[in-house]
Amino acid sequence: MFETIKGLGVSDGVGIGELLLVKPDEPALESKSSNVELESNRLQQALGQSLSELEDIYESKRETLGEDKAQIFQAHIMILQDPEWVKDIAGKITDDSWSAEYAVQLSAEAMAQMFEGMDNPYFQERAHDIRDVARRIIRILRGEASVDLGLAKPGSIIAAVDLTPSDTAQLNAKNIVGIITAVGGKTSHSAIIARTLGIPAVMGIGRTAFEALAQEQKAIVDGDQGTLTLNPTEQVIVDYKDRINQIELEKKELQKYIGLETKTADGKSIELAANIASPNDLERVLENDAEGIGLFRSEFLFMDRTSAPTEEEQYESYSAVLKGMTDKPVIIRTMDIGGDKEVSYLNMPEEMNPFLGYRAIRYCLNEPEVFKIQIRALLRAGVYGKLRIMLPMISSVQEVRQSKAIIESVKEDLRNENVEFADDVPVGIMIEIPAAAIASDLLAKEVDFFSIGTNDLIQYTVAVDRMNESIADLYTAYHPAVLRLIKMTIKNGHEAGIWVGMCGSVAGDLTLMPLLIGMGLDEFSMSPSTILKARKTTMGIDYKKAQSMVNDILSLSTATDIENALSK
Amino acid sequence: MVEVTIKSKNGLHARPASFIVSAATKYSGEVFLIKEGSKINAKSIMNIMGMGLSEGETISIDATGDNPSSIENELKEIIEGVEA
Repeated sequence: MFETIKGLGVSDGVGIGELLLVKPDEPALESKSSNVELESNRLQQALGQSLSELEDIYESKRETLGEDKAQIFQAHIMILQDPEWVKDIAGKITDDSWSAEYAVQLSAEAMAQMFEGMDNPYFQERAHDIRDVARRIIRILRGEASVDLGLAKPGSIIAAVDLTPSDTAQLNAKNIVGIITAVGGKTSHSAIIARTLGIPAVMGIGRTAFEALAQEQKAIVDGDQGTLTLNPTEQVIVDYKDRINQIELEKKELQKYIGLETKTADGKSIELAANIASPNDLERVLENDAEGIGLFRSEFLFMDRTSAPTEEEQYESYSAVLKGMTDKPVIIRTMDIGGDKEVSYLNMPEEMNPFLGYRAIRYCLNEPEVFKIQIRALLRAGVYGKLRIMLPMISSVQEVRQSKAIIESVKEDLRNENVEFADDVPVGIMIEIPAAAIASDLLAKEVDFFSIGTNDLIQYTVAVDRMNESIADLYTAYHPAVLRLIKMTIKNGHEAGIWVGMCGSVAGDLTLMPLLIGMGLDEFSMSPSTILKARKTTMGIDYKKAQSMVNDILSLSTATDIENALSK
Repeated sequence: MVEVTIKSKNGLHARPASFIVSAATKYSGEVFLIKEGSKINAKSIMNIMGMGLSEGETISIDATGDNPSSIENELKEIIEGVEA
C-alpha cells in the first residue's frame, strides 16, 4: 500500500531503493523440548555456523578497518569457544530439557548479569559482548539470515531503530541510497555520519512506524522533505526520478564554484572548512573544495576498539590528514569522549547526566597520561602542515591554562628526546558551554581562536536534551538567547584580536548564514557536501547589509519570528 | 603449581585474558587459575574475566598433564607482562 511517513530530514537528497531492516532482536521465549538429542545437535550446528560467521567478519574487518577495530570480533570468537560456557548451555538442554534457543539465552543472561554485577565498569561492559554473541547463536537457531551492513546490496535503504557507531563503521556507502531511523535527530551520531557520507537520511519516524516496515519493501527516502514513501506508485517514482535529475543538475551547477574564492558580494573573505571524523573523509573534502578542516573529531579514532590507539596510530591518522590538505589549515579537536560517545576501555563510569558529566577535556585533565599521548602525536604530525589544536568542553580559564601547561610539558619532553615536532601550533577552544560564551572576553586572552560548537551550545543554553524526541522542537539555533551568545562570542573574540569560527550543524544552515556573516563570523565548518552551496550563498550576501540587519533580527522576541524574518 | 601477582593497574582485561586462553587452549592437559580457593578453567575467557582480578592480587596457576610446569610458567610470564 502506498504510504508516506513523516520524519526529520537530516541529510539532503533523495534515494530510491529497497529497505534493509535492522530489527532489534527478540529474546528467545521460554520453551521445553522432549527431544534432547535433536536440541543438542542444533546447538552444535549453530555454534559451528556462528564461528564461521564470526571468522568471516573478523577477516573482512581486519582488511578494511585494521587489526584493532577487528579485535572485538576476536573477543566474540573466544566467548563462543569458551568451554565452560558451552558446557553450561549444553547442560541446560540435557538436564532441564530447555530448547536450544532458550538454553543459550538463559546461560548468556546469567553470565551477562554476573559481569554487570562487578565493580569495574570495564568488566560490566563485557556483558554487551556476551549478549551480542548469544543473539547471533539464537538468530542462527531460528534460521534467520544475518544482516551485515557491509554486504548491503546496491540500492539499499538502511532502516534501524538507531545506528550505533559500530553499525556505521561497517557501512559501504556506495551501496546505500538512504538511511531511516526510528529515533534520533539532526545531531545524532547516525545523522552526522549520513551527512559526511552524503547519504539522504530521515530520522525519528517513530517506533510504531518502524515496526510496520518490511524487509526489501520498495521505498523512497526524501532527506529534503523529511519523508519516507513506502510502496511508491509508478507515477511517484517517475516524479522522484525527475527530482533526482534536478538534484544532479544542481550539483553540476555547483561545480562551477569549485576553485572560486569565498567572498561576499562586497568583497569580505569568509573561510569555508569541512568537518571530518577520519582520514577516509578526505576524498569528499577535496572533491567539494573545502578551504580547510574546521573540525576533525579525533574521538572517532578511539571508538569501536578494545584499546586506545597508540601514539604511532594517532600520528599516522593526523599526518595523513595534514598531508592530504597540503598547506590548508587543519583543526584537530582533542578527544571529545563521554556524553553520547562511550569508549568502554577508558573505564568511564556510567552517569545520570553524561552530557553534564565527566567528558572531553574534563577527562583529559584528570587522565593526563592519555591526553599527553594524543598531544605528542598531534605535535609530531604538525610538521606536515598547518595544524591547529582545539580543546572541547572548556568552561573556564583554568582548564585552558592547565591544558596549555600539558602541551608545553609535552613539547619539553619532545625537545629532550630530540624528536621533530611543530613548536608553533595555535591552540583554540570550542565555545559550546554557555559559561564559556559569557566569559568569552576572558577566554579570548588565553587562546588563538574560538570555534562555536552549536550542537552543545543550544542544548546547554535552552536546557534541552538533543536526543529527546518529545522536546525536539525546543532545540533550535534561532532561539534569541542562543543567537545573543553567538554574537557576544564573536564580538569578544574580535576585540581580543582572534578569529572566530563555528563548527556545529548550524554552520551549515544557509538560512542563518547572512546573520552569522553580519555578526562577523570568520570561518564556517560544515559537512563537505554543503560547502559549495555555502560558497554560492556567501557570494550572494552583501556584508554591509548583513551587518546592518543584525540588531533588527536580534530585537525579535521569538525563534519563529527570527526564522521567518531570515527565510524571507 | 606457580604463584603470580597481578601488577597491571587495570587488572586482568579482555586482552591479557585472551592471551591466557590462547596459550592454555594449546596445552593438551587441564590448566586452572586458583584464587582464594576458587578454581577456574584457564581455557575459559569468561571464567577468567569473571574472577575480576585486580592489581595486587595473587593467584596460583596449576596444570595437570604432560610437562605442566611449561604451561604454568608460560601463563605466569603472560600475566606479569601485562602493561597498564
